[in-house]
Amino acid sequence: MSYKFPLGPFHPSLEEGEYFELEIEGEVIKEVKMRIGVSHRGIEKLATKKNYMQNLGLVERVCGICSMHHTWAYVQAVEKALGLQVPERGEYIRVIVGELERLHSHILWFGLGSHAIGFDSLFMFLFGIREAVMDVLEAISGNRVNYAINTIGGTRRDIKDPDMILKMLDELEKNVAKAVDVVINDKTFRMRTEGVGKMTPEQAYEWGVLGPTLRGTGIKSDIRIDAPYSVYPEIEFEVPVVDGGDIFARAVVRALEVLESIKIIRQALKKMPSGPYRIPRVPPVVAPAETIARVEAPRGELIYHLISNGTNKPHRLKIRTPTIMNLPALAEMMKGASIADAPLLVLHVDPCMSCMDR
Amino acid sequence: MNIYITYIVLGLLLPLVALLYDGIERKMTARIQGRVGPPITQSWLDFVKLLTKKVKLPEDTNMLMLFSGLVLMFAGAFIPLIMVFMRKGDLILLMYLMVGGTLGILLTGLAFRSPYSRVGVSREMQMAFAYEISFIFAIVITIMVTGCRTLEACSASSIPLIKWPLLLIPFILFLFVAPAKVGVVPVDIGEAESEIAEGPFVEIGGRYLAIAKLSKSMKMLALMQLITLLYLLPAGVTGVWYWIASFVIDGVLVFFTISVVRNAASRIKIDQAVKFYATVPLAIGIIGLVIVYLMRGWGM
Repeated sequence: MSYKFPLGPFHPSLEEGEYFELEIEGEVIKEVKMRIGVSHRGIEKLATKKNYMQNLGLVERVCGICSMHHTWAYVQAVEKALGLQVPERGEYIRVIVGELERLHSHILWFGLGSHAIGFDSLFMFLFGIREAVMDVLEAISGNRVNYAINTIGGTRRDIKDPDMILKMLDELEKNVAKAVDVVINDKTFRMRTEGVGKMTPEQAYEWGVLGPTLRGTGIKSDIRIDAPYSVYPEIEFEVPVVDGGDIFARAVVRALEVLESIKIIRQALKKMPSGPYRIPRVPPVVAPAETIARVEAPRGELIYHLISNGTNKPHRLKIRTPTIMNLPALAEMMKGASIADAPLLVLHVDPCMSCMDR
Repeated sequence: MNIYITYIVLGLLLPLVALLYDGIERKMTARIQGRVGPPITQSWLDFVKLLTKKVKLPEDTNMLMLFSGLVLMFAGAFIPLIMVFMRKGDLILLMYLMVGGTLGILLTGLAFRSPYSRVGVSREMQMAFAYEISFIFAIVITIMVTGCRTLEACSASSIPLIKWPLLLIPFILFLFVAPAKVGVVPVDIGEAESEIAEGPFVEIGGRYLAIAKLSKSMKMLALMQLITLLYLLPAGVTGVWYWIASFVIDGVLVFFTISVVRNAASRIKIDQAVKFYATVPLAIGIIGLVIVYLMRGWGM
């Protein structure tokens, strides 16, 4: 006999409100119904009522974790429409802050996943080491979460103390190695993650999943390589891909991505030229144009579609977040799993409900 | 007359000591995790706070089932706690009482219609079937090896593990069973807060939750003291030294069987846990029983 099991909108494992209605037989999930939109705030409509500068603050608040990538995609779309060339130092600062954001986002993901399976000592350790990244972000921008680093035509702040970042990266690398050792060698962690959320590369392609969720099925896809932007073409880095298609494989992908991000930041700090980091004056009015900007956010490809109409406000701003692409696959992955796996399955695609609902 | 006063004093003090041990365990867990942690008196403060809270229950709560569950849960922890510290009573009775505490959890959960509660009850039931057999094996092997059926007789021997090395088998079984009986990661599957939000206890609050939490703490202390008494405490220790030795060994056991275990692993799934308890501890229990039978016979 089956029964309905409500997962959310408020649940100890869900950091953000979203409702999943699970149909259960015994402990096995048979059917999943999702109701999205719990935290809808009408941001896209609101963006058409504010000018281009005011929208920076608005799109930064689409998400609390990948806030920098939202403004990065937005400013890229606006800069394309205006035909601006951002100073190279500004681009390097964007890359550095973007990768720092990827670092803390992935460590947060590991921490929340550990908490979902009751591995609280790992959760506490990871949140502890994440603080070092947050401190650096605060030192650079003055803020821990919404850094307000991007502006149209460059960045709002310079990086004045690269040594501070390098020192933090050395320490972080050691700590991440410890965490990776636990993740790979702890038997109970593997028992909870191996074979769970299984997805073949064909299914991943068909369901349109993105980011580390896709790369954990053996498909190499990363906007930083596929459609390079900013100064990524000048930086050498690998896109980690792991076969396996389960939660464990995606965890390994994220662990490797953390190490790659450290490598990228080190290179960017080394190659960063001196000079201006932003254009002093930017025209407030954008001529009629239609632009698209894509960035590789920590959760996957993030797209901003901007239509300008010759005023100081966008005519239309459409945001396509990675979570909306990963959730339909999640529903399929949940079928046949047990209730115990459900919170971990939801968390493992690194869902950003507030991004998706906007 | 004196003995009654002793029972009353112990009845009032031991629950407080149990809560203190809970606080110490929380502190040790925090230190392992690199946190400062709450003060060791936090569980007392939580208990008092819960007693003062207004109780809100769903309209369709089966109150009879809730009350019987809570009474059974409390009795299944409180009476064994008094028995083990007073070193009085029958081991088989103690075993039944401790299993009764598990039944209390099931009844409490069944008083509500919440799916979280029902899933929790189902998991608790499966877990009980899996680990209680090992618990029974541990008690039976202990009786067969030492020949003592009462706690008085058991505590009258020298350090039991040294005197009877065969007791290592039930001791190991107890170490396997302790985390499941107390309900900590990796086998707190019935409550699993990040999955089913405390399962059977999801709907209760206020003084009812206070009783549930107190029962859980008392169960932990009773179990630790039982292990201490049966396998670790030297004979002839009486008076103040008995209490000091008991509390110190209990503290060490709490650290190794609860705090270290819960911080070194993830929560496993119900099928994995049942499979584990139905293989490793059960095999140890059966093989141990055969070995003990062959070596000592039933001459108790």
